[in-house]
Amino acid sequence: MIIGYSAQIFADFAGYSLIAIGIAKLFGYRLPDNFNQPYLAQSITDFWRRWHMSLSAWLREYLYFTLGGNRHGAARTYLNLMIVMGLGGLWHGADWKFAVWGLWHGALLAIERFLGLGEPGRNLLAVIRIPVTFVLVTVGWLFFRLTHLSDIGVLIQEFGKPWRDVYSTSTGTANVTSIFVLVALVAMFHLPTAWLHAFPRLSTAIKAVTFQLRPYALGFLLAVILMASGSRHAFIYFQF
Amino acid sequence: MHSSIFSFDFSAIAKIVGTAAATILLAWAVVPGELPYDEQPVPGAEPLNELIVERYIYEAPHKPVVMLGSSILTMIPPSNCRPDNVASIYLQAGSAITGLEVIRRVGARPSVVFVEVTTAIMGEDAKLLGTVFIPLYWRIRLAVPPLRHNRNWLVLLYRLKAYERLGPAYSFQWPSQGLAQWNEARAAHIAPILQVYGYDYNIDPPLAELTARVRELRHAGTRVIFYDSADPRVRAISWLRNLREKLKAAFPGVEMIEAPEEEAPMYRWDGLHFVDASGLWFFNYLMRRAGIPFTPKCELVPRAPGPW
Repeated sequence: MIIGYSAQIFADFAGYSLIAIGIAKLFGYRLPDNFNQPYLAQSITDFWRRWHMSLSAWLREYLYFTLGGNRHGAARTYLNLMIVMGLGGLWHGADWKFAVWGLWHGALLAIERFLGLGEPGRNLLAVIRIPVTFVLVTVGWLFFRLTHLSDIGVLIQEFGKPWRDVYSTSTGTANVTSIFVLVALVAMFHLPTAWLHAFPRLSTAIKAVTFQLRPYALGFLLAVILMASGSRHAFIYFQF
Repeated sequence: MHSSIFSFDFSAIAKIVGTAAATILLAWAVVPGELPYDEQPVPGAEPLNELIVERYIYEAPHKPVVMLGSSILTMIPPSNCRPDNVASIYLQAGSAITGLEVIRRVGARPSVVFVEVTTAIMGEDAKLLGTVFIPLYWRIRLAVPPLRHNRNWLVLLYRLKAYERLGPAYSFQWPSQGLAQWNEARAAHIAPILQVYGYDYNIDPPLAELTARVRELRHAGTRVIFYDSADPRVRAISWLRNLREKLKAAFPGVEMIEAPEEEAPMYRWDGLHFVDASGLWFFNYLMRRAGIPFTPKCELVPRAPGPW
């Protein structure tokens, strides 16, 4: 369920941003990208260079640098990170849950800086760092998702309960199957793009075939979306 | 060189639209119009209500008998026991008023409409109606089944998996506890309902809404039957009693059926919602009282007769 929320908030906000970018482009404006595969980040520092890039740039330029950035020693740098991220959390709403979410990220950024783990690497360690970062980000989303910060106790109690077999109930089976199918669909459409992105020197022939198949894939996706219409839920980020 | 609309690659758009249309047509051909799990519940009141209303709009407006109410109606009777000539709009946390509006918008002309009085204090669910009756699009959905929420492939998949695990039941037995014991055991669930119903509600606005819609329906030749299936303690609450009386006054001679506690064990989870056996029994009772012929799909396994 928690991982599901990580997926939901990314799809929600990144999709929302892409719609804005696309509409602006129709009118001749080129807006900067707001996301760059954030769940492939190798550290929280790396994550904030990939997630909500417009906000993180604003926080860096107008808050972090104004507070002195890293120019007044290590302790002050860590404090600045906490303040900036705490305020960044409050940007989402005047609620303690957002402040705690921001402080969680601020603390992680400070720890990374202390341990010198902020910069992404190109070695085997990245294979471990990506899932670890994802888990840390996902734990942060817990605070974000809560209705009230006081609900955290209920959540911790739930974690303490023994593992239930989701397949033991009809709704569990149905939920899990639906999620797997959705994940498979998302993967089907994203893997070719990720593949081309990861291997830019791919042969021209393969690129041409991928390009030619794209309209058919988009047509299929359009039909899938049309045939999955239902409740109209507002974007999560619409409220911020 | 400036690009213009004339240099736009329309063939790519044609490929996208063509593939989308072909996929929808394929789904239309492959998915049967009626599936055994079409009424399998889905999580969440809002999506479930959309499915219930859509099922009526697209698949049942021709049915001569329509039952309108709230979640109380869910078990009157269990969905797979509903006879072929009966449709039901059982809205979770809703009321019959929304169902009446659905009938009006669709332009259906049923012969008999059962209207639940117990929850008539709740007004029309404008959000639900807005979601289902999207201007123009709901008519496109009427023509193209794969675009319906009821044929949403995720909903189908979810329902199929749930149905495979549960399957339908066609035979129901009363709970083994006596009714007095049952009510004692459920007291903690009945108390909050009595508390909510105990507030002093202004029944005039919903009454006006209800009477206007019922009058319109009766004017079109539909026989309207009111019913109240709640626990006698709930039914005795003054505003609900007043509501029934005012409805009788507004429509002289109208049929008003109440659950006959003396005839069969009325097992309710919380004073409102029936267990399956009682729901099935009460449905059969309504049909009998109204003199509506129907072919039963489910049976009640008898238990030793009262005292309940």
